[in-house]
Amino acid sequence: MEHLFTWNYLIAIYLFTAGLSSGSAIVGAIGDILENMDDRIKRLATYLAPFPVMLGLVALVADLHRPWYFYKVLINYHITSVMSWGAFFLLVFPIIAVIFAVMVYFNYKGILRKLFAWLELVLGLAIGIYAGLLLAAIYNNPVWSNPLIAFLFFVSAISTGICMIILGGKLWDQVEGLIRKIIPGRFLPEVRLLNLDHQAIRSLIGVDAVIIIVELMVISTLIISYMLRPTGDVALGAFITGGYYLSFWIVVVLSGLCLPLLLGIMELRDRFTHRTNVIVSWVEPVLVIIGGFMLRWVVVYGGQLVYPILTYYK
Amino acid sequence: MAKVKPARWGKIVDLNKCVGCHACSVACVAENKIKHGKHRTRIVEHEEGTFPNVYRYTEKWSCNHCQNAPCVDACPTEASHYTEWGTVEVKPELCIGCGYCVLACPYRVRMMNDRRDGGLPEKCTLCIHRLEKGEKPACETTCIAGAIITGNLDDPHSEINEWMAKGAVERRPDLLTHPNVFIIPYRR
Repeated sequence: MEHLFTWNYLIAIYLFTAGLSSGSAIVGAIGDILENMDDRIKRLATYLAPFPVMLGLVALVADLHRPWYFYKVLINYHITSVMSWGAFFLLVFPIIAVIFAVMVYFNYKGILRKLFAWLELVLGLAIGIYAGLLLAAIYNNPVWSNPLIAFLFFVSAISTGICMIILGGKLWDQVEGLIRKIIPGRFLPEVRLLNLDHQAIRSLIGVDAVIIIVELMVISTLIISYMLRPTGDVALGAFITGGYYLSFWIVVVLSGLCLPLLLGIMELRDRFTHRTNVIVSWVEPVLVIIGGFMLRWVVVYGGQLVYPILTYYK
Repeated sequence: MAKVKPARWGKIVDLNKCVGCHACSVACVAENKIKHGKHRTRIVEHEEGTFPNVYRYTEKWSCNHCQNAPCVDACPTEASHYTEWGTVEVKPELCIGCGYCVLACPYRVRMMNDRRDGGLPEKCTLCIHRLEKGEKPACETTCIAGAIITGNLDDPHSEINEWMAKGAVERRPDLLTHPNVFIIPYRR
């Protein structure tokens, strides 16, 4: 049965990293367009946006069975194929994101800045939605062919993107120190300390708590939507009542969504002393990120687990 | 050997005649030199009815050569394409081996080759290289029960259209894929 899984963990890595980039890019672009966001959060979001998806692209190429022909997907486009659209967005997004990050880093304030902010927002939305749509477009799969999968991945993308910004805020200053050693000082703007203080982390966790509530609502709606279909039993058996249900309920729902939500609410209600603040600033984002990755893992493998059952159904 | 002109060719499998001997799978592997462990056509066993009135029958399962193929729509590089024979084939020079067509196929008849074997999706071609020479596909020539017939669906006098009149149906017509391969359903 080794052919049962056509796609493996590399696709889950790609879907996860595309989500990280998408969420981060959307936060950064909105911050630049509205101009009322904390400057450190905006900068961190913009700097971090291009890199996860580059790792995801490496995973995507490594997953191909003919990896040396990968450039053909960038030359030949097929309008009815979702993957072809995605290849275009994934070609353009890292370029735009890197240019926009450089613009923000050097405080460029020209006419192009607004244009690139809007491009980053649109492309961030595009790759965030595409990640789920790639699976949702396979219409005979009882688990994947559900529009709520695309929506769930998108909401999870924003949630994990915000958590990446929190973690990045704790490590960015060391990274920038390395960058300043490579690039000569006269090309660089003045030092901006981007280390997020507790107030900034608190605001991000507040936004994240709202998105986690939306994500829990989407998951419950997804389960009901599976139940209402004639193939419901097969779809639920993939990762809700059977198959990967332990990973789903424990890692994704319990420790990836409910626990961070609880920690976020406790933080917003000031239930943590100064010494236990490490719980929200490290544990909460790490739990959300692990949960976000396991969500992709469970959906990618679960969808292929149930697939042959329906094929023989007449 | 007379050169056969391309037309809309198709196949019918009569499940009442099929005995499930796997000869078609083996003949296909031998004819197309398929790597170990992979198949373009295979035998699916069905068990139906409720106890004590149960019965089982076998079905040859391979590419249905849909006229509205999900694999062709899904392919990002147009490597999967319709041929002038009414079949669906893969262009090796365009295929990147992403596996999206394998997952998009609602009949699950495609199978990925390993990287060291080229990494192309393995699928039935209706033996076009034999049809061009006027021969029959390998599965049809080897079938001991005579359950398979290949022919020109456009020609109203061909033998396949006589079989069509015997009650051939599409597999999963609810998918709206309009296959060129039909089955005559099993009747007790």
